[in-house]
Amino acid sequence: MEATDLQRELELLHADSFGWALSCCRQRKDEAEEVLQTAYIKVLDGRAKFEGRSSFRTWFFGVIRRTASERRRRRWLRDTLLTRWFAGQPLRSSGPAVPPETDADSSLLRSALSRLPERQRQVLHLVYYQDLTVEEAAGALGVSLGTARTHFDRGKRRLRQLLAPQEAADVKRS
Amino acid sequence: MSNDRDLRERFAELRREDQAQAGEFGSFLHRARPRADRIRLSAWVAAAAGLAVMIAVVVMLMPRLERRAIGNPEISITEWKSSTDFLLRTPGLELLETVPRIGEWPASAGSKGGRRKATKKKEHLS
Repeated sequence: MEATDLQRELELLHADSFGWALSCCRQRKDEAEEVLQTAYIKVLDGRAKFEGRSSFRTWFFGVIRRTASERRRRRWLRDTLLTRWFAGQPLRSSGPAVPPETDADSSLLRSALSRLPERQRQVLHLVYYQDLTVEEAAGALGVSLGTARTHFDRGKRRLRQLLAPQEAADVKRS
Repeated sequence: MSNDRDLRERFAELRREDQAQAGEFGSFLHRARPRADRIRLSAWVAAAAGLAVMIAVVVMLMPRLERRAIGNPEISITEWKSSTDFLLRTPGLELLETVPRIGEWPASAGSKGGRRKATKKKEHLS
């Protein structure tokens, strides 16, 4: 794929990619922006190559996921080793997890999602938010279809459990 | 399925909110370039610093290694002796290593008295 084609594809996917980066970074906007910028550079510099084995979208979501976990690992190493050894300072927190301008329903969903295990949260995001099939989600996450299905079913069940009492409380209040 | 639809609607709302924050692709990429250059530069600087430290360590250790090498010259294989070599030296080994001559006793073969007795016997015979 030519650089201009790549850039056009990335531009078309930009909003969705940003949403996925947010999900991979536990809704931290600054981190998500950094991860997405790194992923763009990786693709445009040819460090991540699209070989057409899946759709461009699925592949690029995989690049974002890997970039986010690399960044998390690096940050953990820096915070735990360097900060603790040399400065004796506590771990840094990285910005607010939930964006300030959200409505009640969304913040309810965000807080419920934040309580799910990472894999379950990611599969649910890819299927419901990005409209991917479970198979495509499995490709983006680099897991087997069976594993993705299990995470999807468990995640959905758990999300409903988490949302139900809060919804009931809302109905009572109204 | 109705539950699924409910979840999809909730996620769609989330999506609308996130997309409002996403910003323009162009400006995003514009900001990404200098960041990537900075990261690349810092990676090069870190690699160069690592190399410099390695070279410094080697340079500092070189004289010490050389001194140690001079103090312990290599032992030639012909000069080398096993530390248990003495175990091979059994009593009477000279008898096996020399050719005996008639009329002469090997130095370690017997006592003075024995030798004297042997010479007396010789004189008596002659």
